[in-house]
Amino acid sequence: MMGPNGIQPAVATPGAGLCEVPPFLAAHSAKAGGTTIPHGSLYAAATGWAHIAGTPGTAGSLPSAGDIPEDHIPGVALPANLEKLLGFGRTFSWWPLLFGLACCAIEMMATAGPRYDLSRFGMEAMRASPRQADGMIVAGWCSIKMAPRVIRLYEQIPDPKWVLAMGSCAISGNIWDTYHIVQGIDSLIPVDVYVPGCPPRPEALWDGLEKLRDRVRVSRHAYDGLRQIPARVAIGE
Amino acid sequence: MESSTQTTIEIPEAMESVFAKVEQRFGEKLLGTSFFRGELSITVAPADWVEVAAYCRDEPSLAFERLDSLLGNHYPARKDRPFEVVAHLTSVSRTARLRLKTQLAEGEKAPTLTGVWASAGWDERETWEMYGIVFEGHSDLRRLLTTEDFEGFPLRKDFPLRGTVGGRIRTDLKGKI
Repeated sequence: MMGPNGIQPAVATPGAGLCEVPPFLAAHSAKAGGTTIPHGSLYAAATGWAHIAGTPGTAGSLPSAGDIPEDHIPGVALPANLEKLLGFGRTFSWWPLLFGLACCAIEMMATAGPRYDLSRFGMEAMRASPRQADGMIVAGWCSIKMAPRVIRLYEQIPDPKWVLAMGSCAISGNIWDTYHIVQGIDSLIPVDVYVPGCPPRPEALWDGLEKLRDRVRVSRHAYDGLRQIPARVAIGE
Repeated sequence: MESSTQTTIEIPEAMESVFAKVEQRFGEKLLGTSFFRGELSITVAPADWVEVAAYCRDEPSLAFERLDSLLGNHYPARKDRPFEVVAHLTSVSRTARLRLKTQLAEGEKAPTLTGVWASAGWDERETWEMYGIVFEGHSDLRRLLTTEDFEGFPLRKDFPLRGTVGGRIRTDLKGKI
C-alpha cells in the first residue's frame, strides 16, 4: 500500500486514540534528533494517521491505499486542535538555516547576538544542515551562480518550512539590475515574509520574524496555494 | 599619469633601489614608469611580461616573491591598446610593493604568469572572464564567477549596465537543481 507520494502511509493499530503519540509527532521529534527523513514522509505519516483519528465512527477500519483519492493534498486533514498545538510548539522552536549571502547576514548575526537575542523566541539554534532546519532567512543578494545552491538548500529543508527574504536585494535585486544578480529570490523559491531595508536593522528582522511566527502559529506556508517552486516551474518540471 | 623613464621624477627612497635595479636590467624595455604615493608602477610590452615578472621574483635584491593580485582594465578611449593587465607584487621579506602593467590591443593575447606564480591561474581566469583577455598558455581558462552559459565580458565598458539577458533568472537551471 503506497501513499500519494509513493511513500508507505504510517500504519496505526485499530483503536489507536489521541493519547498515543501519532506517527506525525514521532517523525517531528526524529527530525530534531538529527535523523534524516525523506521529503514528504512527514505528510504521508500525517495523512495516514489523520485518516484514522480524524474521522469519527471509522475507528477500527484501517484506510487502504484505495481510500486516498488521487488529488488528495497531504497535510490538511489534521484535527484543528492538534494543528493549533503543533503551531504553538513550532512558534517557539523555529530553527532557521545557518545561511547568509551578503551584508544582511551581518545584521542577522547581530539579531542572534546578545543585544537582540533571538534565543528568547527559541530561534537561536541556527542549524548548519538544511535537514534540521525549519526554514531559511535569505539574507542578502543572491548571485545567479549561487541560485542553484539556494534552491537545493531550500528543497532539502523538510516540510513544513518557511522562508523570510531579508533586505532589498533578496526581495527585488535592489540596485543590482545587472548581469549577475537574481532579481528577487521569490522568482526561485516561495517566500513567506519580506523584510525591506538595506540592510534591515535587527529590529526590522525581529519584526519580520514576529510576522513569520504568526504564520507558523496558524500553519500557513508560502507554498500552501501553489505547492510549486517557481524555479522548477521556470524549467518546466 | 605615465611618464617615460628619461624624465627625472622624485623617486621615493624605498623604491629607488628597486627602480634602479629593474632599469639597469631591462633599460629600453620599460615602456613607462610612474610613482604614485610612494608606489612604483612599471609598464612593459606583453612580450617581456613573463621575463620581467620572473626577474622581479628571482633577483635577491628585489625578492617580490608574492603575487598579490592580477587584474584587468579597460580604457575604451585609448583606441590602439584599450586593455591593460596589472600585476601587484609584494615582497614580504623586504616589505615593498611593485605594480607591473602591460597594455594590449583588442584581441591581443597576454602570456600567462602561471609559470612564475601558480596563483596567477585564478586571477587570469577571472580577468579573462570579465574582460575577454586571453592568456596564452593558461591550462584552464573557464568561467569562474558567472555561470557557464553566460555570454559577454561584463566588466568591459561597453557591456550594458542594466542586464536583461535571459529574463529574471538569467540562466538555465536545468540539471543544476
